[in-house]
This record gives sequence, C-alpha cells and structure tokens, in this order.
Amino acid sequence: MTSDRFINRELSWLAFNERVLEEAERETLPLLERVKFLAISASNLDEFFMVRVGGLQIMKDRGQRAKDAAGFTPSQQLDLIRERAVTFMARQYALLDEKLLPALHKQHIRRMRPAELTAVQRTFLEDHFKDQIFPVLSPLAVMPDELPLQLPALQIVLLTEVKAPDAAESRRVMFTLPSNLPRQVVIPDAESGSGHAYINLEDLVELFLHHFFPQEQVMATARFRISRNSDIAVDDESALDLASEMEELLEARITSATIRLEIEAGASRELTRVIQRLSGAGASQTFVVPGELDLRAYFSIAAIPGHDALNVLPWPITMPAEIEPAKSIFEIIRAGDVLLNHPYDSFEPVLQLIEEAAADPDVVAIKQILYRTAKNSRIINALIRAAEAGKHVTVLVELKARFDEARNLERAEDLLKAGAQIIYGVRGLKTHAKICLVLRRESGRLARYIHFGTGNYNESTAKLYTDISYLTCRSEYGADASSFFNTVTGRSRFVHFQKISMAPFGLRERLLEMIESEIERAKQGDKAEVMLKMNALEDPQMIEALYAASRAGVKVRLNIRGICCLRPGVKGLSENIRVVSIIDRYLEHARIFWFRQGGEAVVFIASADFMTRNLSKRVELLTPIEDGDAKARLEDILQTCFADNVQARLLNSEGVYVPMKAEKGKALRSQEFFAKQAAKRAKARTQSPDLLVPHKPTQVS
Amino acid sequence: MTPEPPAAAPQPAAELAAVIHFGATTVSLLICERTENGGFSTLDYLEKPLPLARDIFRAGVVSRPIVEQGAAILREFQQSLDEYAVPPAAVRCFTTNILSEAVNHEIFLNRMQVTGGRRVELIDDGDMTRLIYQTALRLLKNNPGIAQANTLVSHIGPGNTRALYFRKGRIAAYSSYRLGIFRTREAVAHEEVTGAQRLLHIEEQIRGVVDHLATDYSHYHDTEYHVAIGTEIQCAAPHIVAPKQGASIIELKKMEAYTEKLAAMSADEMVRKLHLHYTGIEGMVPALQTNLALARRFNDQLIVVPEGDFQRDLLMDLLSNNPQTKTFQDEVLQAARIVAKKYTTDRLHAEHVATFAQQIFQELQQLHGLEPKYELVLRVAAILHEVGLFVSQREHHKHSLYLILNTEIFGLGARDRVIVALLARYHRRYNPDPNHPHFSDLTREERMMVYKLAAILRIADSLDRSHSQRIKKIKLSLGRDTLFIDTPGVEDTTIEQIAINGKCDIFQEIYGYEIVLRT
Repeated sequence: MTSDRFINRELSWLAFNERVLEEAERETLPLLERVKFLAISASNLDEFFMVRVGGLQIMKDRGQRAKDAAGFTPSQQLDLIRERAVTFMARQYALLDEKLLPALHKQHIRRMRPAELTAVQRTFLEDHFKDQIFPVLSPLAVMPDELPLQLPALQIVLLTEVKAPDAAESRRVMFTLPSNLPRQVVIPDAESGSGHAYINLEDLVELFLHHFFPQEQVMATARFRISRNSDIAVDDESALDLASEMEELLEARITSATIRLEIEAGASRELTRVIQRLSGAGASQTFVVPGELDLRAYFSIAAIPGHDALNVLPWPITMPAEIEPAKSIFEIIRAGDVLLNHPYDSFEPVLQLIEEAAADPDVVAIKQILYRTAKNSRIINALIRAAEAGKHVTVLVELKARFDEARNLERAEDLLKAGAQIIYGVRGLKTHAKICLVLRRESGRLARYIHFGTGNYNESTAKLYTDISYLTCRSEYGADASSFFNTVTGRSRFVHFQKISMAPFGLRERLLEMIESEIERAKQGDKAEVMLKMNALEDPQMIEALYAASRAGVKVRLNIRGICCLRPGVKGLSENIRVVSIIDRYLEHARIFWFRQGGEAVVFIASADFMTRNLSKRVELLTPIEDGDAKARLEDILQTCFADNVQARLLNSEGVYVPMKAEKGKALRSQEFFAKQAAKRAKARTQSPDLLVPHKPTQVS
Repeated sequence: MTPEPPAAAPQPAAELAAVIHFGATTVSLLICERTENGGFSTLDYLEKPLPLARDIFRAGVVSRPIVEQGAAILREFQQSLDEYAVPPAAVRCFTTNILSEAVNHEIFLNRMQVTGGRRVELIDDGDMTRLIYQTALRLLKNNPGIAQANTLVSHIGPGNTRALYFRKGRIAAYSSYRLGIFRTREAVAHEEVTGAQRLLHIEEQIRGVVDHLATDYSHYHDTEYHVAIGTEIQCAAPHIVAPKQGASIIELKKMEAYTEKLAAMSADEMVRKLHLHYTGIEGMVPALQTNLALARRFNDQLIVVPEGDFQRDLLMDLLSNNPQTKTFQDEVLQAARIVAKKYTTDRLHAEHVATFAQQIFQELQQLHGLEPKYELVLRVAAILHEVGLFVSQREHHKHSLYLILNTEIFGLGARDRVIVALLARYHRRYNPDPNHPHFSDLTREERMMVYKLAAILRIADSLDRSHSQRIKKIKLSLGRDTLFIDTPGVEDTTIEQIAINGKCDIFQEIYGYEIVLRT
C-alpha cells in the first residue's frame, strides 16, 4: 500500500518495530533477551501512538487532506496504521502466549492467574493487598451521565460494576492502578519453591476488589489503558519564558486528547461503551487487546536477577588503546585525534574530558549542549563543579527533548544556581547537536578541545546505543566550535565555518553537494560510491538526490536502522541503492556518511538523520573527519555493517525487510565483531610487547 | 603532618587583544591572541545585526531602540571577552564613519562608552582610507602584474565611495563621493519592486554620482585593471568566480547575471540557495549594482575582487593598529604635493618648511607630547600652508584655510583636514582666537594641539623666511628657558630671527622657551 517512489514513513516505522518484534521471535536468542525485545516493541508502539498517531489525529481533526510523499492523506494513514497495528499486536500476544510465557514457565518464571492460586498464596496476597494496595487505591464513582474524564495516560484503569442486593440498579466505580506500584507482585511459588512466581497487579486488585464494597456485589470488571496525544506544537514565538512554557506543555500533555484506548479482551459490551464515553475515544481509536495490557511490564521480567543462563553473555565495554588511564585526557588528545566507537569503546574518555576540565585550573571555559542526560548525570555534576569553581560554563539545555523535559528542567536550575550560563534551547528549533568545547590555557596560548558526537551526553544510554565520538584539538575545529556556540547562544549570528556544517544553515546543502559531486564523477565514468549510516531516511529532497545518484550509476549503500521512505532496487529509479537495517543487542544510533570522492574519501559524522525535521528544523552538526586513522576506522565500521548477514535485513523494492542469509561458516554479526575487535584492541594495550606475562601456579591459602 | 604536594603552577595567560566595531549593519567582535611572530591569530569572531545605516540614511538619527540594541550587544560581547579574560585595556571599540551623519551620534557614542566602560572611537575618513589602502596594497603585493599596472581601486562603502588610482603601485589620484550602498538602498527602499526593475531603480538613483566619478577619472585613459573592494562584493565574488592568486577575476557578464539572480531573491534564499554568508547580505544587491554601474561607465570587461573577508580584515587592521607606515605617509604627502601643485605654491619653500617642521616635531617630542601621527598632519600643513596665495597675497592664510577645508586629501580624515587648514590659517602672526570659525568647533585638546603645531610651523616657516632655502640644516638644543637653533653654514640669520620674533611669541607662551638663532 505505498506509492511508487516513496514508502510511507509511518508504515516504515511500523516495519521497524516489526523487526524489533522479530528479535523477540528469534529462537536462537536467550529467553530473557527475547522478553526484553517484546517489551521494547511495546514501549516503542506507545511512543509511536502518542507522537505520530497523535499528530496525524490533529491533522485529521483539522480537516487537513494534504498528502504525504507516499500519497496518503492523514485519514488514510490512520486507517493503514490501525490495520497494521492490529496485526502487530496480535503477533505480540501470540508470541507472548504461545512461546514466551510457556518458555518462562518452563524456567520457573510463572505468571499466576487467580484461579491457579493455592489457598496459602491467596491468603498471602490478600494480606499484601490489605497492607500495600488497598490504602493507595482511590475508587472513583462514575455517574451514568458522566462526561469524558481526564483519565491518566498509560496507566491501567479498572472499571467495575457493583450492585447492592436491594438496589434497583448497579453503579460503576473506577480504579487507576498507581504507577509507583510494581506491576508484578511476587508470590511464594508452591510448585518449585525456588522459582519466580508473580501475579499481575490488575489480577490481584480485581481478585480482592470486594474489600471496597462490603455491602455490594462486584458484577463485572473491565481493564483499559489510554494513550494521549503528546505531539503538541510549542508556540515558541509568543513565549517570553521558555522554561515556564515547557512546564505548561508538560501539564498540557496530561489533558490532551485520547488517541488510543486499549481494552483488555473480555470486557462486556456495556462497560466498553462506558469506557469509550469516559475516555472520549471512538471506535477507530479503540483496540481490544487479546491479553494483559501494557507489555512494557516485561522489562522487569527481563531484568529478574539470578537467571544468567537465560540472558545474553555481556560483551565487555573496553577502554580504547590510546586512552592511558594515568594520562591527562588533554595530553592524549594533543597527541592525536581520538575516535571512539561506542559502546564497544567506553564513553569514559568523554566523561573524563568534562570531569578533568572541571577540575583543571587552566581550563577557563566549558561549553556544552545537553539534550537527554542520564539520571544523576556525571556530566551535569562536573559542569556544576566547574561553574562553582568560577569557570565560565555555558550550557544549552534543550527543553524540547520529548518526554525528558521534566528531568532537563530540574538540572537546568541546578546549573543556574552554580553560576553557569544556561540557555533554554533556540527559539523555533530543537538543538540536537552533540558538542562540547573546553577552552584551556597552555603555555601562553589558548587551546580548544572539542568533542563531537552522534549520541547524547548520557552515560547510561552510551552503554546501550552505538555511537561515534570524535575528540580533537585541531584549531579549525576549535574556531568552528566557538562560532557554533556563539550562534546557538545568540551572541552572534551565524558566521561561516571552516570545517563543520550546521543545520539549518547549510548542512543539507553540503550533503547534497557531496551527493552531487559523486553524481558528476559517475557521469564522467569515474567510480562513484556513497555509504551512509543513519537512523532514519525520510526527507524527500535527500531521497530524490539519492535516486539521482542511483540513476547516474553511483553505488549507494544505506544502513538505516529505522524509518526508510526510499524504495530501493526499482529499475530506472533506485537499482543501484541497497538498504540494510540492523537490529541487535545495542540500538544502532551512529550517523556516518562516506563519499568516495575519487578515492580521497570524505567522511563525516553527524547528529542528524536524513529527516526533514533534522535538516530544516533542528540545530544539528555535520563534522568531517580528516585524521587518516579515524577515517579508515569509520570506513571499516561501515563496511562491517554492510557485511552483517546475521542481524541485518535487506529492504526490497516492495518495502519488505528480508533477513540476510549467511553462507555456512561465513556468518558475520557486526555488533559482535565490534565487541571482539574492541576487546582485542584493549588487550593489545595491556600486553606491552616487551613484557612477557608468565603463567604462575595459583597460591592456595 | 604531611605537607600538601605543591600545586602545579598555572599556565601563563595568553596575550589577548580584541576589537569591537559598530558597522553599517552589524556589530562585530574580533578576539585574537598574539602569535610568536608578533602578529595576531583569530580566536573568535562574533557578529550581530544592528541596522545603523538604515536609521542614519532614513532619518538622520539613530533611533532609541537601535541605541538600546547596540548597548545590549555590547553587554553580550562583554561575556565573551570575560570568558577569554581579555584585559579591558586590550579591547578597542570603533564605529563606522557613517555614524557622524547621525545628528545624535555623540549621544550614541556616549551611551556605548558608558555601557562598555571604554572609549568608543569613530573611524574617520582618513582611517577608513588608510584601511582601504592597506587592503589594496595586500592585493597588489599578491599580484605583481596588477601592482605594476595602472589600476583603479574602488570601494563602495555603506555611505561613501572611494576611488584610488594607482600608477605602478603608487597613488596618482584619490577622491571620495557620497555614493554608498545603504544611502542608495534607503533612497529606493520605499519602492517595493524586485528583480530587474529594482536594479533599474538603483541604477537611476546612482547615475549622477557615477557620472561625476567617471568624469573625475576620465583623463586616466590608461587604466588596465579595475579592482573592487568591499564587504559585499568580496563576499559574493568567490561564488561568481573561484579566486586565484588571492583574487577573483570576474567577467562583467557573469557579474550581471549573478546580480540579476540575487535581485529576485530574499536574504534567506541567497544564503540557502547561493551559500552566501549573512554578513553583508542586506546591501548585496545595491553593492553589486553600483560596482556594475562603475565598471560599465569605465567600459571594463573584467573586475578584480580581492579574496578575503573585508569586514574581518578591517577588524584585524583596526586591532593591529598599524601605525601609519612610511609608504602610507609618503602617499599622503604625495597627495598633498599634488594639491599644492594645483595651486602653484612655491614647492621648494614648502618642502623646506616641511623638513624643518618634521625635525622640530621629532626633537621636541618631550615638550609637546603629541601622538606621532600628528607629525604627518604638520608636514601636510607645511606643504599646503601657502596654497591661499593662489587666490590672493592679501590674507592668504585665510584663503589657505578654505581651500584646504574644501579639498580632498588622501589619507586625511575630516578632523585632520580641519587641523591642517587651521595650521595654515595660523602660520602667520595671527594667533588663534576661540571665536574663530572652525577653531571654535574644536575640543580643548584639539585647540591645544593646534597651538602646539602652529608654533612649530611658524618656526619652520621663519627659518625659510627668504624662500631661498639658504639655511640648509638646523640643530636644536634646549637651554634652561631657551630653545637654541643653530644654523651651521649661515653667518647672518637676522632676517629669520626677525621673523621668529615677529610671530613666534606663541611658542614661548606654549612651551615657555624663548627662541634664539645661533650661527
């Protein structure tokens, strides 16, 4: 159901989530890893509905009929999404019920249903209910003529019908399961003793609901969960105080329109109608879920301790060879540019740069963009210390990072109190660039150390996402970094850079020029080639440029984890384009762009994907990597990703992702390869070539 | 108790300097550090829009919001200066010379001085000419072919246009005109037209001044190159033709096509589609069209545009505060000689007076304490002090005054020209009077300077009272309250002593020394 030239972005996103679910279906993966992928797919879908479907719903409600690049109106897209989402959810529950739950059961991780409980377990749970749950549950009577309510989003709600023996009619009461209570309540396992048995909170509450109604009888109960539209346009132009405006947005999200209602199968028709009325959801927004609601709860199951055999063997995160622990990071960068391939290479050197800068008396200023940070972020702590020590600390805190606003706000105030200069984003644009600049006095000169990244300054996600870091003190990059910060802090208007490019001021154009240049070479009969790795490819202009490249004979290879609206392999359009997607243990997140340029390859790392929002509506950076070793390494990374035949899927001209087939003995799993390679590099460092390490007998004490 | 390990000695601070410039459309800040070879390398460059030219050429006054905006920008720039820890004494602040056309320019200057806590200097015409001359010299240095040729250099500035004619690397003619990018832009701004029609309006608006300029240079038939300098044209040129040997050599047809393309675009489109920088974009179309009009009028087929960012180079030159180089001084003196020749002055006398004046200025430096640049002003005054004789012997000093006041002299700003004119006015025995026109307009410091320099000029002039250059050399020595001037080789200096006695009382008043000639 897609147009000839473009694949619809929403369907492409759903296809990505299907690939995530395929990982949960992959029987060669350890069980808890599969469970984790199921939870990821559920969490992804929630976000998709809140943001994308929410946005489309607004468009539809406003009567907008403008078609997307693939030729669909908002209304048509919503229909297509619904159809695909229903199939997807059926697949999720089939997997859960038929494969994962039985497999978990076999491993003594059991979800108990009320009917399966023993008397002892039931008593245990009743006590637990009375002590822990009853006091925090708030029943809310629902009047028959009740208008739609402001129901809490993403939380499970129980609607129950009760009736007093002498009453003519029944009445209805609603309970919201508090989000601070664990979804699974662990119970003593009568069967195995050592296993992990649990009951879902909604089952437990329903089981003992009668405690709330000593004089009445519980007639029926239904469970549901709503998702709200969070894709609200921020009116930057009229905002005098961006911070308070964002707080308003956070509040607004709670009261915005319902865009999805999930009702657990088995609810009566009557209760379903009441729920639809209360939530303001129509039939097109209602999904009857064939199992327990909110599969995000399976993140906790995947993290149950003591089941190492059911988990993947962790890959080591290693310190890169050039990083000597005893050496100053400044000395290391001075000796040569440092390229890090996270998470195989530790994120520690990046943290070290900021932490060392904070403590170094010769550092005069630190400038940093923060988008999504870790809880109790070491980076923010270091920046606070630096500001307290009297250094000039400038931090651009992006308040518009979706879902993370609350956390970002709180940290902004901490920084402000410490004396840092805080900028709450750039009006009209989200600041997505990843850059840190340290200004340091050295022998009567001012040196600049810069970190350019493809991922956020978040030490937690840096262990889970693949990203590239580039540390340098090259003066042109330093000058560009200063100019960049002058621009985003509003101290200067945009002035041209020597090396880097910045969106929305020319980043797109530079990429188009690079593609154009390959096209020219191809037309002149030279070998022309492009390798691009990114998270999403959606921008029509960039796609057209790649089609033009394909038609001119440029070999185009794309490694795109998520959305890809480009249709590869179409004769006369895109036959020279190959698109692969890798879904594996780590979230593929690096953006690397490689252009052959007649053999003198030009390689960039970037914070931007080829999406219109990145290229036109965000502050992004494109950094050319000129250091020979770093360039070669980036090329290796790309080649390895394209050689992956285990976790990679190939996108065909029908828009379908087909798993790769490895010849026997030639399987290559890129993430595993990088992990082993990093370990090898680290080992090479610890084993000095002139120092032999003898095996010694273990001392028995 | 264990002693604490000694803390690592902090690294020495870098030697930093900065310059802030209020230009026609932007305020810019250049922060530099001193390099090992004594030059400067750029650390940071900031630029914020401030439409001064719009206010000045539209209303003749800098509006209140723009004054406030200027002050706010200064405060923001101060944050960067603080971050780099640039010492306050190493920061200089200038404004474009077009500011002087705003009736409230002194209020603006004062406000910026108070906000920034530092003196704000108005770049005068002379400084501007010097800066343009330096840019032209850089180009000539990189292109020996152009340096050896006859070259017309034009700078279309925000308010004024300057033309310099070089013959084999030396200035043969100089003039300036009230033809400027923003003067033009504001004149046609009310007409909401785009594309070819807009270009036509600009061309009509500037035709008169362009014709005037062309007429002034009509006798230079031997022009081989036309070099165009300016923020806008230097920004656009590399996009029209890739530069070679430090310059883009552009065919007129290409520049016409490019200008037509720009005339149909908004500023954002120019940046997005043509990759132009925001710097200078506001005046891009009028600038290119004015350059084109000049080139057409001179029948040029090619225009040479130096590579580089005019705005940044200007700031770097301001920062370097290059004392007037000998070459530049020679050019100014040469320009003064051309003027002197025009008014048929006694060349040998004028040169002789200038030489004595220079010597006295240098040797009495401790006494007068004036900046070295005023030596040049004094020498120019010496060369021109008798131009008034062209009009009449009677009261020729007064004729000298108005002739100089109304004559363009390369390298001299309006203020300096007034000083030169007043020195010529006071080279005889009439002392300055606070009620005299022009003198009364000067600041107290400037009046004192006129006194000091006029006193020196009078001695120098007296020493060639006979106009025969019979005193070839002089030697100065200071006694307790006497300045002795030895005139080796001349036995009788009665006539010169009479001249000194007749008009050098001012010297005694100012410096406290009696002048005695000794043979």
